[in-house]
Amino acid sequence: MTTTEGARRRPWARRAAAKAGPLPWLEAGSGLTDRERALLTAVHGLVGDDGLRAGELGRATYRRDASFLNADPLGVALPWTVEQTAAVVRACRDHGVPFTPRAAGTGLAGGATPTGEGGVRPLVVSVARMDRLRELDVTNRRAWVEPGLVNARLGRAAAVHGLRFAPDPASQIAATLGGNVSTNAGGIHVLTYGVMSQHVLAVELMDADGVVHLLDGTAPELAGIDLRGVSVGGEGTLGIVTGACLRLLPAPPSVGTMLAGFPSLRQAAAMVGDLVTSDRLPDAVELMDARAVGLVEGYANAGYPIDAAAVLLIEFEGLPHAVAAGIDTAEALAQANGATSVTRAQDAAERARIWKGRKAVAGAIAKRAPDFFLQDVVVPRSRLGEMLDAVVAIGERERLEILNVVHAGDGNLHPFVLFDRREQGVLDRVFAAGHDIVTTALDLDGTVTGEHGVGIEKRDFLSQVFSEDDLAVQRAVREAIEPSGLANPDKVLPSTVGCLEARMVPEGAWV
Amino acid sequence: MTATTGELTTAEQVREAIMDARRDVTPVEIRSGGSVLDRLPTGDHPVLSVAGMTGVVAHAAEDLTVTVRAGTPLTELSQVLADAGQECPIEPTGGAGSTVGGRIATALAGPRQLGAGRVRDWLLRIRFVTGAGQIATAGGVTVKDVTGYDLCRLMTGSWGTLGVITEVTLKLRPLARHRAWYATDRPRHDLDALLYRPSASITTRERTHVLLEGHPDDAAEQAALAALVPADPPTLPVTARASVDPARLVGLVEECETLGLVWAAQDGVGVCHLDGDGDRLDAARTAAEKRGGALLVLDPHLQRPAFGSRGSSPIDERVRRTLDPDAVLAPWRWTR
Amino acid sequence: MTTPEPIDRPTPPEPPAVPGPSAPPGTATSPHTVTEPSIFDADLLAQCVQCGFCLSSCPTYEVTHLEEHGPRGRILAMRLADAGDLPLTDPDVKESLETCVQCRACELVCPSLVEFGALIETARTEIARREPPRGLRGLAHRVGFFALARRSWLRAGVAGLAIMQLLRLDRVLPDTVRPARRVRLRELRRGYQRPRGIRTRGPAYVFRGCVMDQMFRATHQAVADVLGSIGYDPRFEPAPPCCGALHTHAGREDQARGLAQQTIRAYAGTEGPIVVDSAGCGAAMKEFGHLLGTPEAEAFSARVVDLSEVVTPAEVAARARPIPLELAYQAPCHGRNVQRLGDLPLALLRAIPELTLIEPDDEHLCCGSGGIYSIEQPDFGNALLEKKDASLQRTGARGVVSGNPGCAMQIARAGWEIHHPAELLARAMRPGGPV
Repeated sequence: MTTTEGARRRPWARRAAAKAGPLPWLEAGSGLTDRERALLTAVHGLVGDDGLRAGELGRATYRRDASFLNADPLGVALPWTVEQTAAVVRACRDHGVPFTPRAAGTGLAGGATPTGEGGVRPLVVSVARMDRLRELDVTNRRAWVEPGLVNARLGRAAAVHGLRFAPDPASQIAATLGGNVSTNAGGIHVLTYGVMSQHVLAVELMDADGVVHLLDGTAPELAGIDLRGVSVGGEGTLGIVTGACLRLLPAPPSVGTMLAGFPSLRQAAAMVGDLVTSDRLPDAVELMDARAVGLVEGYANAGYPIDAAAVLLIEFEGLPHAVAAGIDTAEALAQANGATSVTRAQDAAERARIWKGRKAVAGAIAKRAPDFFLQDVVVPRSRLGEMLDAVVAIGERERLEILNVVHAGDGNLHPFVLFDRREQGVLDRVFAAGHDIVTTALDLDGTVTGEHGVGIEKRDFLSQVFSEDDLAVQRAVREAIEPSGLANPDKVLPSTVGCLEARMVPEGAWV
Repeated sequence: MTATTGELTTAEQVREAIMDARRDVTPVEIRSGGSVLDRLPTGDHPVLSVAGMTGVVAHAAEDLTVTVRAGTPLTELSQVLADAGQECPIEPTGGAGSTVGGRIATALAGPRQLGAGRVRDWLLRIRFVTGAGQIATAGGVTVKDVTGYDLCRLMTGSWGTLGVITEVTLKLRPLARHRAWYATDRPRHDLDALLYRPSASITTRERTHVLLEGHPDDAAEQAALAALVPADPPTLPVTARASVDPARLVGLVEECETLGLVWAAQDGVGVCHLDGDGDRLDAARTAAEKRGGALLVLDPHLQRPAFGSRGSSPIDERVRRTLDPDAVLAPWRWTR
Repeated sequence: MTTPEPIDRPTPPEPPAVPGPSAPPGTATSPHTVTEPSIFDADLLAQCVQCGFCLSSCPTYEVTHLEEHGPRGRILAMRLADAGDLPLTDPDVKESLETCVQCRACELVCPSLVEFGALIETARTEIARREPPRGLRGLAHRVGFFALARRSWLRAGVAGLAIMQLLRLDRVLPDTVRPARRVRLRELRRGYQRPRGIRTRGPAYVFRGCVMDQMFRATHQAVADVLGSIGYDPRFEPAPPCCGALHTHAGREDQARGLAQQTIRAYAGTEGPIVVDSAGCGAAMKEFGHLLGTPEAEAFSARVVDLSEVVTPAEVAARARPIPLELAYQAPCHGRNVQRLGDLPLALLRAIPELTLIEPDDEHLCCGSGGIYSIEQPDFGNALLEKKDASLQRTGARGVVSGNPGCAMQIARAGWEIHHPAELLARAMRPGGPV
């Protein structure tokens, strides 16, 4: 549907993207090694002036994703087509230079931060320009997308036909589907709809030879090894996602939303447990603690109870009687758990107002402090109360303001650690708090990341999650799928002895 | 099939058995309840059975998870869960002997996959022994977990060729309040527009059967809207099952009808259950493979290979060689 | 909170295994390091957390998908300049900042409430100060921006254009400079007429502005007619020459301040809403308080309203006759992102019976007009116009509604017939309709 548009707009776009004149960074004396210069020259020949950035500003703007981890890339290639991407990847292979796949760079774990083995600077390969919706198959409720297509754009295109794409990470207005596939993204509606993997029917994965493999999962059984499943969440270490077939669902005919305030975090957590074991699972259960509610109310006026120690936002979707019954049950459970206030949305406007509070968290934080560090851990739902208490204690110990915003139904916590990077020494405390939150989650049988991914940020925690044998198997699978070791080499698995520490990126150096 | 390698009850014993197989260069057939394997013409191979590894390890009702050993019959698991008002919608498709491990290993699709999602979607954590003899765990007991590579999905549907599953943690959900089968003569396509996410839809030559779960009033309204009448669940053919991309199911069904096979198609899932003689099933297999799918023959008397001639990609081969370096885990599985 | 050191300084991976360029900007050895006082408000610059939510809202990022053509990259460029790592006049930094169309769509989606408009204006003003436009372009800027502020000069210029168009001489002009709108000498001679009617409300002032007053008189007249029909006493005087929006856009902040003061002085002693039918002028005038920082300016800005803020859909519905048309509605960026009018203008138009309005599927993206942006950055301007043209065609509508003269002229270049909301409202609410 958008093919012609893509082809038409390209001449102007290429001119707009091209920098005229010589390429100073290629000249002798610019400090490039022979290998680096050879690769950049080759890539420049493949993608032209508009497809390569290697000057200071160009490199600086691709030093990191939305995390705190940064490193200097050799350059940035921005192919327009899969063919160009393959050629760029082959050039990397021929010159033995690693590459870091990237799209919108909204990841929070450093998965798109261009770190390389042994001080070799990788080439960033951005797939952001491949952003077409290749096919929207309304009859079979699926869409073929290019990796650079923004999540919300697919949602919008699907909505025209009464369909929806379920994974809805907070970054969906900018995050791309290629990135969502690569991180196995989550969102607010995971409780019943599941994470990204459940919505990915097939993946096109480009290996380091530039060959695209169709990892097809459209047939339900007898399909051989589910490489599709492994590639989802591969964080660019298994190759570059150059396309995906995604499942669409019919939009729910009815939605019920409720907001309940509780006098303690423990009571709210108990309510979550009761909800989950009731006879109808809500589609979203979000928890915000008193600090979060206080900030949000001062900013967005969403009508949240500011005297509550915690509020729960509960939503049911589906057929009308089930939704109504679910909300009735939730209200009864809230009363039984000592809720001090219960608000049921009577119409779309009230529903929007309730969600407005949840969605205004970042804005409210911005009014309070210029920076925040967003953590992502999961605990079994039955340990939620303990975990929330622990986060509060960690904040007090490190003298930091921490807001708890929780996908409570999934046991997935997103503590926001507030700070101002200009305060001397604050970063040490921020990272100490982040570290303690992760180890606490591990102590409670939880895990180190629920939806943001491992990247660089969490990779060394993996030795605490898995045994040596577990990791050896994971490493073996990775090497079997991507034997060259050039695809995003540093990420996901803890480095093996010898080549790790020298390449550590200074955490938080560029906060 | 020859005798089993003895009653295995722990992962360590499985590991020993695999190491024995490697040492003797004797590939083994992995077996659990036998509900599928007994119906396959698998040839005469030593069997490594996990049927002795039974029992629910932990049912965390409040977390909506259950950890269960691979040889546990699905009926036993369902009973434990039902007592707590919960379920894992992975259905026994192969009869009473179906076990949890077998269901994960084969990923054979029950009709409720239309509403509940694939087998792979309900697996949170897996413990398995690789063909190299490593005892490995992947995934975790929380419902969201992106820590490390997703080997849960890799193992699902791998038919015992990558490792021997010893224990799994599954995601659960509340049992539906109401559950009823309906039937209609309406064309399938009309139903898509009228019904909101039915749990199952099975089309036979005569009519379409629909399973509605959830609130009884919703079910009544949906049934009225689509003019559905209450009916018994459909009886599914058992000789063979074909699997294709659901978008290509109609084409496959039309071809099966022309071939004179008895068929029942899981709409939206992509599975077609078939009854018929060997020659017709050969033709149906060709029809499925032409559509990028496959066909499994579940009757050893037909003298037909269980699996078709599926191609295998270089990545498949590398992964298999990595996890099973001496090719001791049913290496004949995907070939004739 | 203290500010002990420059913020957001990238630090190199340590130790850099490769010599030379692996040391990124920001190291002590950087050859560009300068010690100038910061031109930026440190708190404003610190507000961005680099989450990237802004990217897909940015029209120029959508063209090239380069970080440096997106808000996050531009803020980074400003931070690098502020830290002395790269000069503001570094060709890449300058290009990054000058290619911003200043639509401010990023502000609307920014979860961290970054005031991007204030930052980019500061940067552009500083660039214009350090490297003012030279040669023919410099001359054109000086004459052009001077003429905007002098009604007689502008009038002469527009009359000249009308004659050129009449003689088809305008075809010698480059495509990006040649106005698509046909100016008629008759229009230039046309006067304003205060509508008759019952005055149940006080006076309301139609802001005439510079280009609008010469080329879009019918629009002003329509505004007055609509105001009159709901009981206001519309006035065309005072008529200060120009609000200075384009000057602010181009980094000519001193001139902009002067024009703002002149405008405020002109309305001294009057009371009642100042109704602006150009979204760009309205946005600039609503920000006079911010620009000048005086109580008078604040009070003035509070009086500035869009037509959709003084007329309600109910008032339209009660009077309007049907307009059986299907049109695409493209909200002007400065109405949507700066004035934050939201659904108001659309709701007003939707009160007209039988008028169908369809938003293009990229309604949040700028058409590429951006004041003189389409002239200064023709590649981006054309790329954006092509995208917008394509999305407008996907609506299936035959014409486009836009409440900003710049957008109207840009979109008209793609061959579209443009309607101003005020003209549609006036047509629907002409005396004789249902009351």
